Amino acid sequence: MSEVATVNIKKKVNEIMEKKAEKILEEKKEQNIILKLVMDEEIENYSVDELKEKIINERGELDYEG
Amino acid sequence: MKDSSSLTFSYIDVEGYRGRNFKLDFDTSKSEHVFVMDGNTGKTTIIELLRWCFNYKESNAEGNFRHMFADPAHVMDWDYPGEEQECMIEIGFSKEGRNYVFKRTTKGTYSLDKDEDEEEDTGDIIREISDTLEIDRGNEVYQGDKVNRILNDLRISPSADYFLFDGERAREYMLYASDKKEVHNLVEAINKRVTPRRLTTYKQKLNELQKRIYDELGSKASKKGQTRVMNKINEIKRDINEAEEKKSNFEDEINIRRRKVIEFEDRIDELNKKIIDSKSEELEKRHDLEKKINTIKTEINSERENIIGNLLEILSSEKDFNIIEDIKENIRERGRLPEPYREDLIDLCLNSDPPSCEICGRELDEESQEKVKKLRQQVAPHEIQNFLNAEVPKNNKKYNMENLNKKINKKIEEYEDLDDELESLDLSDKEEKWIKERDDKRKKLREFESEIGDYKGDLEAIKSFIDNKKEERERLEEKSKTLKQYRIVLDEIEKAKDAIQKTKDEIKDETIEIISDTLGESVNYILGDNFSAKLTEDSLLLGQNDRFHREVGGMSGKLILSYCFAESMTEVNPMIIDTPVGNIDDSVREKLSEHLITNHNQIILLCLPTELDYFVDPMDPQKECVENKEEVTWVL
Repeated sequence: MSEVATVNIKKKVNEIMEKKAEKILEEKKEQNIILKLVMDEEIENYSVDELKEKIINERGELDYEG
Repeated sequence: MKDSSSLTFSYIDVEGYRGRNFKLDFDTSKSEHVFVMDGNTGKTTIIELLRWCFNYKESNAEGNFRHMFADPAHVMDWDYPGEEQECMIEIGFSKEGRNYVFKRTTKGTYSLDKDEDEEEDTGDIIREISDTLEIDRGNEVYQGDKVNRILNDLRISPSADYFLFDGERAREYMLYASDKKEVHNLVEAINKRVTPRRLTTYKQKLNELQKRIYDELGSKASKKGQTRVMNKINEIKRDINEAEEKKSNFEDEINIRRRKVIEFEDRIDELNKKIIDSKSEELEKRHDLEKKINTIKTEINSERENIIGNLLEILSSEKDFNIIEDIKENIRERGRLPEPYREDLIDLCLNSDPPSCEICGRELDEESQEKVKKLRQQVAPHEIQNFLNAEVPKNNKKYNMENLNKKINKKIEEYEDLDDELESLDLSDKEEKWIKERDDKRKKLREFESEIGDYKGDLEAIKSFIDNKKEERERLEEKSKTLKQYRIVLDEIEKAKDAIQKTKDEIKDETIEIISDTLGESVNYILGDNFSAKLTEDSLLLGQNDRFHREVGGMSGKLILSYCFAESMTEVNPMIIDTPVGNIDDSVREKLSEHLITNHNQIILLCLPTELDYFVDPMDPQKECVENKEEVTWVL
């Protein structure tokens, strides 16, 4: 009984936490450019201006005006 | 349970900290290491030094060492006060096939000087703390705070409060679980544990990005900042509108006055023309009259000066009208002046012995003497006395007063006639009205011109104000546009954070449930079938016969619960335990031992000699007795 308890807790928890979190976020990142870039480890490659342009371009030129 | 990928400690070497000097070498062929140490020989110091090294980065280490209930506690050796010391702890470990050596060196002294309250020693005077991490025998070497970042990545630092276990920490968990006021500590710990590292990393990156934007734009990039900019733009617009209105008023005022000026100038020209036209016929006559009047004025004045200059002679030349003699007589008769100079008589009166009147012979008392003295002050000056006594010389030159009088009177009459004539030539009522109107208009005209000047100054100032405000508005509008653009990046970041938080919440319940189940199984194994445990988002409860409550279980049960909780919370596999079974019943020691052996790749136990019974029996450990001064005195 105890043989599976504490050792497995780390495996179970880490597995659930990491994999499930990743799975949930994979779905969510498609709706959020910033999250996508963070998850893909690309965010550091963008300047703030470039991020701004990227979002504006994807949303539509004048969206931000409102 | 050896697992080469898991964290495994190979040695802990302490030199000088709190006067402790020993090295714990772990035989890595074994999974259990039992170091037998008497009370007050450094067990707690080892655990606390490890926590200190793993929890506090180099720059934050000073003053953060604690020991039992002393917080902060000293790290230098107080047996050598005032002496320069260099303490060192070195920890060797491996993980995922790599070998690490962590080293913290502390230089300083221990001072016996009393603190401000004169109650305790000043204690540690730290000059330097330095951390080094060497990987794979010098293949990589890191120093300073970077060391702690690597320990964090290896999950050693976040687990230090759990895999380094002792009675004090167990009491803390028991307190968190039992006291409603302390339960927030438990909640924080659980939240931290059930948050995947990846999510924490993503959140950190988002925070860094957010900071980058704020650094570029300042606080204006926030929603509040943007609102402030918009409010400022609106405020400037209001200022401009008000200023434009004022400017318009100034221009109106200037135009009104300009029209008035033109109107007044025309009217003044018209009046001047009328005045000049009406006076042109009489101008010459008036000029002549003024000339004659001036001549007669001069003649009259000349005659008068002549008479005054010769007045004494004129008067003295009159036989029947000796006015000077009359004046002199008049003065004497009225007695306004005393008899001619008689100071000699006054002196005789006062200087006689005794002082006596020279005229009547009467003796003068003091009062009389004072009166006589005052007479001196009434004596007229010599000039007047001489004048009054002298005879006025007779002048032979003859003056005819009557003729002189007639002559002057005639000229005065002539003057008065000319003046009357001039007056009659002077302005008619109409002309006077014109001139008055012209002068009033001129005065008003000057006022208008002055006011126009003032208004022009105000107008220039308001124009300049408007220009500046318009420039500021344009600048802010540009900034607002930029802010709006940046705002969408910030909004996107907020949404990403929300997504992370929601993900965290989604997995949190499931994670807590798994931990709770495992906790329950562990407690059940160690304490017996009727015991269990339950972890929720804000509670840690021991259960007996399916009854979960803060008050269930004695000291032994609660210690086991704390053990299992610490095991659940740590993210690394070894357990280093100080006094592992001090207050645990003999009946459960063996079960606890089995549980630890089964569930950890490495168990390092710092035991009192009295703890070995039952507890060590199920193990096949490396067993050593440790004494201070680096010596292993005996091997079991």
